Amino acid sequence: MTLPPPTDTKTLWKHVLSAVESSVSSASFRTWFKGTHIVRVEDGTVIVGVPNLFAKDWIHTKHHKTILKTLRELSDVVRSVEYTISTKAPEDTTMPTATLESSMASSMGGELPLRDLYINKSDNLNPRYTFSSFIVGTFNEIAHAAAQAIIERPGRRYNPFFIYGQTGNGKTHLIQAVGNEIKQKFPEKKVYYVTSERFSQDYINSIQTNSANAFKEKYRKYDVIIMDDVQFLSQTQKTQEELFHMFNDIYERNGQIIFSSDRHPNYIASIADRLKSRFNAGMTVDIQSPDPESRTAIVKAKAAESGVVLPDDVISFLSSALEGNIRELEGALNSILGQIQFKKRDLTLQEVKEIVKNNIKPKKMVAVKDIVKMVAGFYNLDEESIYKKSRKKEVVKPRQVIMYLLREDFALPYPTIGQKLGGRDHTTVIHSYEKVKEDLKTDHQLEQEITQLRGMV
Amino acid sequence: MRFSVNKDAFQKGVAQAERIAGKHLSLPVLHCVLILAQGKEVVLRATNLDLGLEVRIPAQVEEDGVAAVPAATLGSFLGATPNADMLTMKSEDKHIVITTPKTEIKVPVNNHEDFPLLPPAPTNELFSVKASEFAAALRSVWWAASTTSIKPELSSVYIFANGSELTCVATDSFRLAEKRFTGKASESFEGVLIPLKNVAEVIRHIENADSAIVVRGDGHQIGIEVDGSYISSRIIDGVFPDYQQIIPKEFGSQATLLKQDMLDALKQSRIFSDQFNKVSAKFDADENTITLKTINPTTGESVVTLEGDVTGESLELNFNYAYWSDPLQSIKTDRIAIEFAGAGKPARIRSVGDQSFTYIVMPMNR
Repeated sequence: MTLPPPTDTKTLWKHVLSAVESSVSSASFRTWFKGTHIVRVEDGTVIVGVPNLFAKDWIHTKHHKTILKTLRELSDVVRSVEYTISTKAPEDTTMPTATLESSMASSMGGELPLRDLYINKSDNLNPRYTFSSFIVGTFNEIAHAAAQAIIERPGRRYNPFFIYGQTGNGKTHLIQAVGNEIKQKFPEKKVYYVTSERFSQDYINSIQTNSANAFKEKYRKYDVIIMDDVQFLSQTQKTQEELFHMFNDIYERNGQIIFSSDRHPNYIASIADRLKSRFNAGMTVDIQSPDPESRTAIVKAKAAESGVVLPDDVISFLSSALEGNIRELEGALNSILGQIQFKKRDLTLQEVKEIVKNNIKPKKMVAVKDIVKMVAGFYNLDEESIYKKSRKKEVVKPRQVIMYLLREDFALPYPTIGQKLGGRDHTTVIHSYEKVKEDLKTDHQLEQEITQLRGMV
Repeated sequence: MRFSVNKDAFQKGVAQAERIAGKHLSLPVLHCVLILAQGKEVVLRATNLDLGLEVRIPAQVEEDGVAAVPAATLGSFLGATPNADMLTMKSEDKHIVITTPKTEIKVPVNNHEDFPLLPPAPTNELFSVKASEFAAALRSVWWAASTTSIKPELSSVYIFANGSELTCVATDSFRLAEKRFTGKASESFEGVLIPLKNVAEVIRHIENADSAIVVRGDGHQIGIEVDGSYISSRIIDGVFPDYQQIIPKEFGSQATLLKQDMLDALKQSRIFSDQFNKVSAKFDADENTITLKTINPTTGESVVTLEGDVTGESLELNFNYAYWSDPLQSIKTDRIAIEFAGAGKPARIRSVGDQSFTYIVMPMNR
C-alpha cells in the first residue's frame, strides 16, 4: 500500500519519525528525536530543526540515510536534508508567565525594571517591536504605508523618513519595527537604532577618550540608521555637525535614515538650519492621537495578546474613556488584565470603571506656569521674559499665543489670564486673543505652531 | 583495548568526567565515561548533552579500543586504591578489567555505540583571558542569576566586551551583579550567555590553571581548552536586557562602612527576620549611623546599630536580608559603599577602592 503524498511538513515529518522509530531503541529515539521538526522546505532541501548540537551531530551521522530515504519516498521534490538548531517548534505556545513573576516579586522585594530592556546589542533594536503587534488606523496609516514602502526598498524611496507626533502614539514602535523588518528581509544590511541623546553621549565620550575616528567609523558602517527623539539632540555645534556629516555619508551611499521627534523638524528650536533642511528632504509624516475606532482595535488586540477576551461593553467603555495616548491606554489596560488574571474571572463593567478611574486624565487641567514654560521653550525664549513688561516682537507673539491657548483651550477668564501673566489688564488679553484668532485665518505658519503646541500640552 | 596509564592522572580525569556524567532517563549510557585508547594517549569523554568534556592523558597503548564504563563505579574504585602508581585496563568480553599491582576489578561496560558524539570544537576566537581571573569574575556574579527556567537569558551569566575590558553580569530581575575584568576580546565578539547550571563546571574546569585561556564559540556552544582537557558548554540563544539603563546616574545618599560590620549585623538580623527576610534599615546622616531592625512574630526582635559614614539625605527603607548579604562575598576590600538614588529606584552596593564590581538591588516595597 502506498500512502498519498503528505501535504504539510508536519505530517511529512511524522511519517519520517515513524520510519526511524522502528529502527532504533525507544530510549535513543526519545533522546534524539524529541522536539525535532521541519523548519521549512527550500528548493528541494528539507531543513530539519533539532534541539541541540549533540542531536544535530547524532542525527546527521546515524540517521541521515534513513531520513533522506523516507523523505524521498514520500515526496519527489526532496533532494537533500539539512539540520539546524532550532529550539522553537512552530506550534510552540508560550504560557503567560506574568502572574508567577509578579507573585514572586511581591514576596521577595522590588523588581528591577528590566522588562523593556531586551535589546539586541549589535543593532540596539528591541525585538518586541514588530509590525504584527502594530495596529494601523486612520491616525497612523500614512506613516505605516510610508514605512512599508521603505521596507520594500530601503534607501531608495523616502529618504530620510521623518516621523513626528506626540509621545506615546507609537513612533518608537513604528521605527523599530521598520528596523526589525529590514533586518529580516535584508540580512546583509546593517541596521542601528540610537536615541539622539545616546548619539550625543557617544560623541562626547569619543572626544574625551580621543577616539573620534572610531566613532565616525562606527556610525558610518551602517546601512540603516534609526535615530529616535531628535528633539533631544544636544545644542552643541560639534554634535550636530557630526550628525550632519554622518547623514551626508549614509545618504550618499543610499543608506536609509529614519528620524523621530515629538514635533515637526522646523519647530525644533535647538537644531541648526542645515540639519532641518536635511530632515525635510525626504518624507515627513505625523502620527496623531488614535481615533475611537483605532482605540477599540488596540484594546482588542492587546487583550487578545494576553489571552483575555473582554466583553463588548467593556471594550467600548475603555476606548471612549481613555482618550489619551496609546501608552496611557496600555497602562490602564494592563492593570485591568492584571486584575482579571489575579481574580481568575472576568470583571464587570462597574469594576472596570473603578480601575480606570485613576487612569483617566482629569480633563485639561493645566497650570498656567506649565503652559508658559512650554511655549517659551518652544520659541526658545526665557520663561521670565513672558511675565515681564517687555514689548519686543519676539516676546509679544509667544505671549499672545499663550493667552490665546489659555482662553481657547482652557476657557480661563480674561482677568485671570492677565493677572497670571504678570498683572496685565483683561483688555490686553482680549486684544491678544482676538488678534491671534484673526491671524490664524491667514497665517499658515502660526496655525501649524499652535497645532504643535496643542499636541505638546 | 589494552593500555597502562599513570593512576593519578587517570583518576583526575575520571573525577572531572564523573561530575558531568550522570543519570539520564532516556539515554542511560550518559552515566558512563567513554574511554578511547588510541596512539599514545587515552581520551576520556563525558557529556550530559549540555556540557561536553574531553580529557587527554598520555598512556602506553598496546591495543587501540573503546569502552563506555559507568563513571561512578570507576571513580569510587580509583578513590579506594591509594597505593598504586600505574594501572592497566583491558577489554574482555563486555567487561573491562582493571589491574593494579595489588587489585583487580571487572566492570560490565555499556554499549559504546550509543554514546553521543561531541560536537566539533568551535574555532572562532571570542576572547582570551587569564584563567584564574575569568573564574574569579564568574564567581563574583553567578549567584545572582535566576534559578528558574522561565527566562533562559536570566538563568545565565552574560559575558560581553566593554571597550578594552570584559564584563560578566547576572541577574534574576530582583538584583544584578556585574564584574569587569581584563581580557582581550576579538573584534567580532558581541556577547555570550552561558547557562547557570554549566557555569559551575566551567569555573571548576579553569580555576586551577594559571595560564591564559582562549574561549572559542560558534553561536551554539563555547569551548575552552585547558592543559589537555577540553570543556564545551551550550550557550543560550537570547538577548540579555540592556541593564545599564537601570543603574541610576546619580545617588543622593551614600553610606560607607566596614564590610565585616555589615556581615555581622546581617547575620544577627537574620535570626529575627520574618518570612520575607525583611530588614528595616535607617541611614542617619546626622549621627553617621546605620540601624538595622528586624521583627519576627515568633523569635523576637533585633536592633543593630553600625557606625559608618553617611552622606547626603538620611533615609529609611526595607530590604531583603539575602539580597544584601549575597554581594558581600564578592567584595574583597574591607570597606563597602551603599548608595541610594531615592524611593522606587535601585540601590547600589560596591566596594570602596575597587570599581570593578557593581551590585544593583531594588529595596522592598513594604
